[in-house]
Amino acid sequence: MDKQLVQAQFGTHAADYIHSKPHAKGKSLGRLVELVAPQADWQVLDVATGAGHTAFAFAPLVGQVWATDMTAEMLAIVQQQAAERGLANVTAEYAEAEALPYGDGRFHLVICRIAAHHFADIPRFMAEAARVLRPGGVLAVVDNVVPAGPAGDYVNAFEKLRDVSHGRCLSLAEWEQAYTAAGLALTQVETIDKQMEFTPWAARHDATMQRYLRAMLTEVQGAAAEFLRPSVTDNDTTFYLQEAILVGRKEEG
Amino acid sequence: MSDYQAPPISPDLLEILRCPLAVRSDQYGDDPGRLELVHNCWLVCADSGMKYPIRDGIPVMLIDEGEKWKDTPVDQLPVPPPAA
Repeated sequence: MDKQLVQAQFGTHAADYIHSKPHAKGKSLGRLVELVAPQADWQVLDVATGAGHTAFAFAPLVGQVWATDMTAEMLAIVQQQAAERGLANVTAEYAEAEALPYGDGRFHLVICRIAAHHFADIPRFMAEAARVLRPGGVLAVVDNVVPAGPAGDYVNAFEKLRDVSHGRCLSLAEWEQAYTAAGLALTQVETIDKQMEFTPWAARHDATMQRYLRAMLTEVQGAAAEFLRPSVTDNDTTFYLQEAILVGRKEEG
Repeated sequence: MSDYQAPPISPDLLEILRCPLAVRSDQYGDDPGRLELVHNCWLVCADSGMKYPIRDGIPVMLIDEGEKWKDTPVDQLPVPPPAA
């Protein structure tokens, strides 16, 4: 994914993301905390923190949270919100997910929530996350996932038509391979189906683009249709996306 | 220059932060990419020569940004760093 496109997208929409329901109150955030079970002395890195929702959820439970993002507007919000919430243990740095500015083996936990599909190079991010983790440290990724094969290409095309900064969502099998390739043992995988309402989802676009997007739902066939499950109701068109929580551990020394 | 009051940088931050370019190199010993705080608003890596600005209290640890200031001598770095 082109970095400037991602920065432009999030710069423009930075304020929207504070109130974005899927990001702020998504079921995955509470479940992520449960699955990871953070400890009070942990040093935690939240990669591509966005408006900081994940960093703020973990901050009261751990020693220190280091939050990174590439976009200036996002971290200004994170700093301001951390101060307003009285969270003195949240620190923000601009950094690329693929070139983390930390020494080896520093963190007990690296988190990356609903962001990896924007990254230019997911394997390189995984290698960097593994590098900065302590032995036994945990990498927790939450991201939208797609079906394997052409159906996954269809869902990615659908998402990219809506959001130009969307790079590519991986399938669960690709995530499993990515963890293994980074030397991390995948210990927990959960998926959450998210019912989406078309109108708010496509609201950032004009009527022409919305017609294209809607057509991708009404014309979908085969495995992509089984995944998206579009349904036209009196009020709106709904469909499903799927989010995965993946938790893996770096081997002990 | 002396009138500029930079937000304080925590020692914990300096302890953990490294130059994202040098930190992955095996040319610079056991702990590559260490950073020195200069003018209270720049982080300078002796290993790579990269110089990262701290804007509004937030270190900008992007390789492109560090490279931009690589050839600027430390005593000529602008204080405070210019906006992006």
